[in-house]
Amino acid sequence: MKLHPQHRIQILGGTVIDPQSGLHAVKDVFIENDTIVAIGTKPQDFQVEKTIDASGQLVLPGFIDLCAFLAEPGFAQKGSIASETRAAAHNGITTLCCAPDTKPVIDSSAVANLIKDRAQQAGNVRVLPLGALSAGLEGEQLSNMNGLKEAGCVALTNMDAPMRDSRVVMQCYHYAAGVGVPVMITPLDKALADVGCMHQGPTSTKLGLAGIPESAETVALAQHLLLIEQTGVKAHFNRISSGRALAMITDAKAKGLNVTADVALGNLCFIDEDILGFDSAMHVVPPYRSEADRQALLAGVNAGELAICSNHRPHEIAAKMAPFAASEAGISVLDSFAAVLMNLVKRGDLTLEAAVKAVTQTPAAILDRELGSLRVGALADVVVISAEQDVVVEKAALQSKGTNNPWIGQALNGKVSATLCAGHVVFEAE
Amino acid sequence: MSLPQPQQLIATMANNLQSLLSPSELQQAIVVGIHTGGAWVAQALHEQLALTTELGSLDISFYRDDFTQHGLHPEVKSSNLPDIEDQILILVDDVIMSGRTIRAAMNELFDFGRPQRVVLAAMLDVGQRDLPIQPDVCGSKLDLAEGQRVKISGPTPLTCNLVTLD
Amino acid sequence: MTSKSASPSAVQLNEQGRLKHFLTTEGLSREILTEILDTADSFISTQERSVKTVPLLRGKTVVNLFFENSTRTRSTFELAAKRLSADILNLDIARSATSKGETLMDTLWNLQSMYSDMFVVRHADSGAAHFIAEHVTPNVAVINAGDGRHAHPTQAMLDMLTIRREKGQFENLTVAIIGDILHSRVARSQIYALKTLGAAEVRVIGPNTLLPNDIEALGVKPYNNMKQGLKGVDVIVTLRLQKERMQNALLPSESEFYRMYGLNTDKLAYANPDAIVMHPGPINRGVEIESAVADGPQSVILKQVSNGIPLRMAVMAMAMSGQTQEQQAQEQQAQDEQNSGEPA
Repeated sequence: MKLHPQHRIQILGGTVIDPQSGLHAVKDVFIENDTIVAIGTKPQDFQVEKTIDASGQLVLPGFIDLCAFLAEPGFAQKGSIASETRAAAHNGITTLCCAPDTKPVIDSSAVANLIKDRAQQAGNVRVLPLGALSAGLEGEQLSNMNGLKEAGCVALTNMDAPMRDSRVVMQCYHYAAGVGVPVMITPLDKALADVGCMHQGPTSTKLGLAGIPESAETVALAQHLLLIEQTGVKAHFNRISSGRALAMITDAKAKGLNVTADVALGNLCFIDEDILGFDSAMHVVPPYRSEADRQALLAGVNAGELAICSNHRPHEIAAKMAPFAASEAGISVLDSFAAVLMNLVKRGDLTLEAAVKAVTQTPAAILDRELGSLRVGALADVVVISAEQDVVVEKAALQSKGTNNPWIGQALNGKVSATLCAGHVVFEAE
Repeated sequence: MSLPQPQQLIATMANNLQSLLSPSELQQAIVVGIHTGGAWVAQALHEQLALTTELGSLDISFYRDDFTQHGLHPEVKSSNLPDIEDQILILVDDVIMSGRTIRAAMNELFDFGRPQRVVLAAMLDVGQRDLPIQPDVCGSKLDLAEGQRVKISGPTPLTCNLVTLD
Repeated sequence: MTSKSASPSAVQLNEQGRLKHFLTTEGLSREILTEILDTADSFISTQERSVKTVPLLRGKTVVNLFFENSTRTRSTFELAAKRLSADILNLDIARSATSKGETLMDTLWNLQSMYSDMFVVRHADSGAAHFIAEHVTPNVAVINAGDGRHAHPTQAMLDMLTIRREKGQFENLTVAIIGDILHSRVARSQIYALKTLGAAEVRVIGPNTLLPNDIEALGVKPYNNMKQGLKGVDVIVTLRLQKERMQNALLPSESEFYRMYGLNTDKLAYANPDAIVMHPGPINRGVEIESAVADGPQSVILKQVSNGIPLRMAVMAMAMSGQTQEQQAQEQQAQDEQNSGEPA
């Protein structure tokens, strides 16, 4: 992917939506180097080198994905930083946090730096590594949290790997709070989850598949909330799956606890009943829960309570070609991220403002970075997207190496015309 | 073309059987009809001959040679036979055409036991054999035009009609 | 945003609506279930004569793929295949062999190349039979001999056959299934079959820890108490209790289970006086059932066993028939397409 070293770019005639500043109007945007220098009126002596026609389209801040598995290092048959970030760029994502459960795990500065280097070489999107909360993600000992922070890890997480017990959790949070690095948590009580592979409910009973009860998430969540309060660590709940969990987090915030949360895009689209027929494509972690949960999570996004992440996890064909419980969990999302998001708006599940906010302003605030906004002086991370145009993602056009994309062949709404990352055009549609 | 009616045909068959078998042989003979039409004809023949032996019936679904072409018929009935070991059987079918039904019926009979003798009685012989099988006793021969078939309805009243396939 | 609507039965039926795999009783119409019972009845009569074999599946190859140990079920399928004149191959694939590197998929693809016409599959993963039928070998008839906790349709249907032969019909029956419903694939398959065949009421009886949380979603009434649960019941099905249940915080002890849920003569009296007692086997005497009841006048357990072969002959014949029909239709279509491409 060649970088276009264009110094002055204008994006004309698009509807600019920036939740952070409240802007929602047809305006031209002017970019010089890596900064937005003007919105609305063309600056004097602005020698345009490139024009992007955005008429009839939306001009949004570049999307921020808080959790995506890039498969490198260690899982070459599933994906690479180059291929997965390319998929992200095609879908308007300009900043992406990569999950630490690679091989080796991101629990050393060496691995964190490797990832940053590879991402820079690929030149598609800005990759911010997530570091491992425990050494090797084994849940037993502290990781080198300070080293990871200095190597550029924006937060630490144990992803879906269990922690040995609540004492280890407390120690990790206590130490992290002192180091000054935030933690990301996907709450799950391993004992309650047991061997479950899907939401425990009428569908799991019908299918005879072991279920993960809602209480596996909420019991752990309750524990984490108290430990966060006790240690004062900056915490974010990543990929929550139940309405009850969202309610508990909202309650905690109301009582003054400074926590945030996000939901995976898939959990806004699919429910447990989609597994009927033993479709291994629907085998994911965290699991798709009931329709009531999906509605509660949508409401949470609409209320501005939740960010949306991709929870991207590419797999090769063989990983899914097995009976449900034996198949590997995960869906490949990045190739469809923008279209699926816009489709939720088209269907009326999300308002446009809320959808945009959930992938720009909210995750930027969670990361505590100056990102996700189209203001004069801001970093030029921009996506131009047509909400009117249908797009069908065909297998041949996939950028990700993962074939486990559940939306292949479906007509979705939202075609990205161009993505700019720090002023570089990282994707432009033909 | 007018079809001869079953009552007439049954009477003819009964007469022929009385010529073919001795009175004592006939009294002991076990009549076995092939489902579904053959079973109706067998019933009528059994009454006509005023026999006191048990009436048998055969469903040949499991012995047909066209499983690969047509699969299993959705309505399989059971075969019901008394002990046929060393007995004289009168195997009855309504219409004999290719001869395959009789072939299947014979195979099935021999899985039940070893009869002493099998006499084949068909109500109508419409020719068009694929196999070297001929009835010993026959109600009437009939030549069918192209696309014509005989349709038997029953059990009471027992009727035959000519139908043309589309 | 559902990816696709999946009827559990769609994959079992060919375009003419005939059975081409037998994976689950769920979603099958009353007509098909009745056809299975009627066909099984015909095979019962063949089993009563000296030559018990019919030539129906002559030349066909049936492979028994048992990923879970089971001598009983495997032998009945073997015998059923032989009685249909099919050639049968037994493959006992211990799970460790497949975990040594060869995936389930590869194991089956290798077998398919040996011109198998039918797989009888028992596997520890729920959905394994569906997986094989849908993704691996769609042209080989798949008979599910038990997949994880999901389904055991041939057992359920031979139980239905037994009930029909004893009681004549399903409409006025109240059926109770007792024991470890949570882990039981037999119970799930029985429940679907009973509801489709029109049973008046289906109940499950057991301790909370052995009853699935959402069992009512299957149209079934749960009971913790035998006296209440057995009142007015015409058919009692007792399920085997596995020893492992005591290890996983599911049950305190066998003796407590037997005291509360063991079917002895006293508890049997709570049900209707002409109630029949069933068990899919093998029986744990003194755990889920008392010997006096298992061997008593109301027990039809031995009849269940003898109904097993004709029932399996029936589903094997029907599934092979449906596969053959489908392949014929596909070949015909290919022929037609070829013909229509020929110059006039």
